[in-house]
Parts: sequence; structure tokens; C-alpha cells
Amino acid sequence: MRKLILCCLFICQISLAETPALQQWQADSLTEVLKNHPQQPFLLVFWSLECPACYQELAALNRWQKKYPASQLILVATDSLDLQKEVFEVITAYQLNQAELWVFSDQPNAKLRKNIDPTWFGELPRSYFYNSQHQISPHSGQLTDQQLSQWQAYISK
Amino acid sequence: MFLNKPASHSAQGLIIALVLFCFSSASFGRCEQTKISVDCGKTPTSVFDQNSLLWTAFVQQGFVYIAHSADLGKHYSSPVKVNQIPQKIYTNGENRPKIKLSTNGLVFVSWTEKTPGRYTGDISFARSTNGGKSFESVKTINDDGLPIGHRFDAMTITPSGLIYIAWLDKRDSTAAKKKNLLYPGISVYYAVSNDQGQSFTANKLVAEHSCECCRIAIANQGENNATIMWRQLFSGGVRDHAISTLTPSHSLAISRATTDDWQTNSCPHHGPDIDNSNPNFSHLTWFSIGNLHKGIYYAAFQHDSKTLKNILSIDSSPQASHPNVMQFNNTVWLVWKTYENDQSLIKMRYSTDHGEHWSAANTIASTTGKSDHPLLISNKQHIFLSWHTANEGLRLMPVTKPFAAIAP
Repeated sequence: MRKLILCCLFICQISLAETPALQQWQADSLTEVLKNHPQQPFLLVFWSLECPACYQELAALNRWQKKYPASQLILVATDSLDLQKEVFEVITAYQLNQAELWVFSDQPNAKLRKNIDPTWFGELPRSYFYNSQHQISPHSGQLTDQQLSQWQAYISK
Repeated sequence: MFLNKPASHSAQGLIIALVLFCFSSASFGRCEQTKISVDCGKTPTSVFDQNSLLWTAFVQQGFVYIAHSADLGKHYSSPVKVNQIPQKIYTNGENRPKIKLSTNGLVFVSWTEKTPGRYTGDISFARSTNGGKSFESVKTINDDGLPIGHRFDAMTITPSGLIYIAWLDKRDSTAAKKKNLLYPGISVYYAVSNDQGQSFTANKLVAEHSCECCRIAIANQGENNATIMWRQLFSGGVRDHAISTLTPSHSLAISRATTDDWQTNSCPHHGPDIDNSNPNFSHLTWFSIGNLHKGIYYAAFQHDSKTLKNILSIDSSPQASHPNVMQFNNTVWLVWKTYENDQSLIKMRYSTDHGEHWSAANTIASTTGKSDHPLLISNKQHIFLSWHTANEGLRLMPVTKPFAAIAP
């Protein structure tokens, strides 16, 4: 019994150690993202484990990234920090590990949301197309292959 | 095996508990991580009994617990485990444990267990027949035996003692997809117990094509029935609300409750609330980003005409969320959460003429950290805001009218 518990604790430790640290999205993280992508177009997507439509969008993003691996994708999970492991498992399942990966920090969800976009009501998935001048085009709801192709055509001009 | 069967069973439970402990985080600042308490637990949900004893259900480290308080939440009894074997339990989004009490002292708890897979779950129920000292074994209320989504349980106990549990169910969607048929959304099901939770009826379908990620609102209707309100997929992919009456034998035809014209394929994670204190209409509150209505709304649903009256925008700001409505002593109270000036706020409006006119919004609580949804509860004397916050723990605050006069 004692061995079993020790073994279990060991597994816990290994599992935690192997859970990759997603970057924690803070109130000022958008400023950091913009700074890190000067004059670069990118797609910023907010999603959640609890959002069925988000999984269909992740599948579409996977197809887009496979075709255009150089296109910049930033994925931010709005789930709580204790779900990081599950978030990473889903990202891995959809082969989107090459994207820039974030998860909402422990700050109030509404605070983070307001700093990203004061007009966003919290619906998911929520996407922001940033062009190279960092002009924004927001979108609520699942992105389609067609929308991603149009975005690709736009940024490839 | 080096362990006999009973030991193996308890060892298995211990392992799950340890693993859950490993992956749980101390989300609430004023408590020690290992302490089991309403402050440290997640999504505490409270109700008063006839003697104004406060009963609270919460989730911590794989267990639903209950505790009670005789001094309005200042001190609590030692928490009692509801499920004996640890589970993964939904506490995010709109899922939380529910607790109801019978007039003869039985305690009923429902919750959604997270089962393996994506957005899958089972509706769990357990009761205590000894005043909350211990709980009988957990029952799974969904009866299809499928490893799919059964989530967002809502529970009520009627004045006659019937227990209704309604939830969102994926069985019809799963069956359609197996036949390669398109099936927008999922379904709403319910079950009833007429023997104080000892058994439940077979699952009954209320509606197909519901939205799949918003809580269901439930309230008693008369002695034996219940009303539920939920986000429904209407034609054209519009996600507005529907309402129906549940009876012990069947559900009545569904009616459209709100017309917001929200055409979306996104997940709102934002369910409605309902109060049925008035015999002629239901007080409704809900959230939408439709073409007609954006933000938090109130209206009264008239049972005879199946129409809304007194439709009012409560708060149109994008930060306004998760409203709760309750009629108490002929006043209708409505609370919701918002975010202003680096603080999460609970705001309140009230109406003394059944929802025709409303007071201005008043801020009644605030916090700088993370916080749960606001809930209204009442005993015989007062109405209270129950609000769980990271910095302050679970607070129970009397809700009263400010000095300002009601708006014309």
C-alpha cells in the first residue's frame, strides 16, 4: 500500500514536470504579443476546453497550419490554470504545438477580456485577424476553412 | 495482487484522490490548499432550511461536500463527503453542485461528473436521510448508459416533495451522427423522483436541438410541476431561449421565451435564470448578443399568452454577466456581475411592482480577484447574495433597498 502511494506521488510529480508551461495571459499580454510581432500579420484565437465549436475550429486551424506553417497563429485558452494539462493535450491532439500557446492567468476573466477588447462579450471561439499594420478584424464563432483561406490570401499579397 | 479486494477498492480511491490533488490548484487565496472548507472549495452553492440553517454544497479535491451554518455563514459544521469515491467533477463554466432540502429533513445533492472524453459527463445524485451526517451511494440519473455528454444538471424540489432533475444530453445528437445525419445542438432531458430520491423515473425528452454549453434555469410551478428555461437553437442557427413546464408524467409543449435574434455558432457559456413566485408569469433574466438584444435582460413571461412583457435592458456592457433573479416579499431582485475600475462588482436592481419599473443599478459587493457567479438565496426573513471570491471566500450578504427612491 505504502509503495503504491509513493508510486502514485512519483507519477504525479513526473506528470506535473512533463506538463509544458503554457504562457500565462496577463492583462498586458496583448501589448507583449504586438511587440513581439512587429509588422507581422497574425491570427489571435481565444478558445476553451468547454466549447464544442472551438474543437471544430481547432481542426480547421490544424488544416491551415499544415498548409501554411509559416503563418503566425497565437492560441489562448480561457480555461483556468489548473486545466493546463488538459489544454496542452488538446493542442497536441490537434497538432497545433507550433503555435504560440497561452492560457488565461489567475486574474479575473473579465479583466483579461476587457484589456483584449472592451467590446467582447466573452463568447467563444473569438478570433482577431491582425494585419501587418496591426489593424484588427474581430470574429465571433467558428472559423471556417474558407475564412482561413481568405486570410491566407490577404496576408500573402 | 498483493491487496485483497476491499483494500484494492480503497487504494484505487486513494490513488484517484492523490492524482486529483496533484492536478488541483489553490485557486482561493484566503485558504490553505489542504483545508476542506466552503472558502477553499469550488462553486459553493447554498440554500436555507425551514429553520434558517444554511446548507452549502461545494467541490474540493474530487469530492462534493456539504456543510451547514447556524450563524449565516460565519461558522460551518465539519464538511461531509457526498460521494465516497473521488470523481472528476465539473465546476467550470456553468456547472456547479446543487443542494435541495425536503421539509422532513432529507438532503439532496446533484452534480455533473466529468467522465473520460471531451465535454462528456454523467448526472450524479445522492441523498442523506440522517440530516446530512452521511450520504447514500451515488446514483447516475441519465439512463442511456452511453459515455457521452450529460451535463449542466438543474434540480428543484416541489412543495409536494417531487424532485426534478433536468440536464443537457447528447444521446440524440450521437444517434443522428451515427447515421451521418446533421443534428444541430443537443437535447434537454429530465427525470422525476416521487419517493424522496430513492428512485427516479426513466429519462424523458423535453426538447431536441438545445444549445450545448449553458446552464438550465429551473423553478417550481405550483405544487407538483417545474418550469425550465434554456438556450435553444431556433431556425437559422439562432440561439435564443425556450421555456417548458415539466410534469411528473411529461413535459408540456415548448414555447419561445426570448426573441433576441442571436445567430451564432459560438458558445455563450451563459445560461438564464427564472423565478416563479408569481402564479401568472415567470420572472426571466438572460444574456444575449442578438441583433435585437445585447447584454443582460429582464422580462416577465406570461403563462396564458406565452408572451413577454416588461422587457428591459438591465446592463448592456460587454462585461455584464450571469444574472440571477428572485422575488421576495413582493419585491423582484436582480443581481449580476460586471467589471469596472479594476474590480469585479455585483450590481443589483429591484422592482416593487412585479417588474414594471426598476430601480437604478446599485453596487452591493466587489472584489479585486477571481470570483464565482452571484447567487440569490432567501430564508423566511431576508434575501441574501451568496458570492464566492478568491480573496474573501464565500460571503453571504443581506440584499436591501438603498435609500434612493425607485426610478419612475
